[in-house]
Amino acid sequence: MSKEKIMEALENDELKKKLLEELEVEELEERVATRPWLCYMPIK
Amino acid sequence: MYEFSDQCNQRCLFCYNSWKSLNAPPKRGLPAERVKDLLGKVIDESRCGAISLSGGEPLMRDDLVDVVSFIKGKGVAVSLITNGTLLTDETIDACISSGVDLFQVSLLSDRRDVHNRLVGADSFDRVIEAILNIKKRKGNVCTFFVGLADNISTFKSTLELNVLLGVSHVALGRFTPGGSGLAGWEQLMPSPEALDEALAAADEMVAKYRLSVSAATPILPCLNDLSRFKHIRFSFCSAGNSEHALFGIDPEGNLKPCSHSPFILGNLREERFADLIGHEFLRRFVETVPLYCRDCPDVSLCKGGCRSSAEVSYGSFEAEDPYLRLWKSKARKPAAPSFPQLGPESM
Repeated sequence: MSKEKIMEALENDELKKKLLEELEVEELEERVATRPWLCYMPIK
Repeated sequence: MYEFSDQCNQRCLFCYNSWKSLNAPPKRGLPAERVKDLLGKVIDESRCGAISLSGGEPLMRDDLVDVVSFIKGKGVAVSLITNGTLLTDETIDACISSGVDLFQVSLLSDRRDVHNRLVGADSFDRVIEAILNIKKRKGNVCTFFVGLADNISTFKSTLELNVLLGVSHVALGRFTPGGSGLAGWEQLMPSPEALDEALAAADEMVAKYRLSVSAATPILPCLNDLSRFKHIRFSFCSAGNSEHALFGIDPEGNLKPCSHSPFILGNLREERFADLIGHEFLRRFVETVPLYCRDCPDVSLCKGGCRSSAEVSYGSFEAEDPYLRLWKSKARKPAAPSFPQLGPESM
């Protein structure tokens, strides 16, 4: 997504909502949140 | 975490660099060859798997790439903790080519005015551009959001901005006083209610998008019921000498229990890492729990919060975390561990 589009979305809630809906995923194939973090960095 | 540069081009209200405290002695960065000697010694002596280069702002130095290449040559992962303002196309290319594994960029709000006010610079647009350029070049980028009274209400919308930017990892660092953030820290600290709202919104966002949210500084279970937020990873103090311990090294090569602590265990250019981590101060630092927390069933995990912020705020790491002391009237002590599903091994 371009910087201009993102900046426009920050000023326009409807546009932001539309863009986010397009990005929404129904199923999470990989829950990256399960990766442990060591304070500032994910542990490999 | 090595504080590679003592210089910075921003004036963040919340900066924890210990040399920014009132009357603290200035720190001077080492020349690149001495940095390589220092880090080579640290890597050989500690068998560490990852080094984060921070500051100040690490990109204020023009020898960063040389040092990154050296660390990578030793087989160690490198992350860059940066405010993002100096990440031009050229510097991003150079960093990626030299082996930077992860760019951690500060993004304090989706609102330009809020971000710029908190960092004391007109940097929001440059940060957005830098994040997009890292993504375009297939670099790994995560963002860091310091949760303050002034920006915590924008955490949800900032996560939305992260989604639009294609960022999949966001670290939330609940404000911990230190450095220049000591002045008037009570006004900077978010309330437990505001943090609850932000965590609830984040929990929904994680479930909805390909997003990972991690709380990188302690959020205390006596003030926030962490069991409500199933999708957020909570981290607590990682100081000590365990396999996953995190240490701070200041610009001059002094080893500290963590990056927030002003206490110097010794200088790594002169003393062995193994000797310094056997320091009596570190043992007491890790084992000490504030009196108020001692009979709490959650204390084995939360450890009573941030010892370093207690030390810099009240002069002793035995004191309560400032977040707890400020909001103690709202604290509850659970009868049983409130989030038994999280063990230290899952942190």
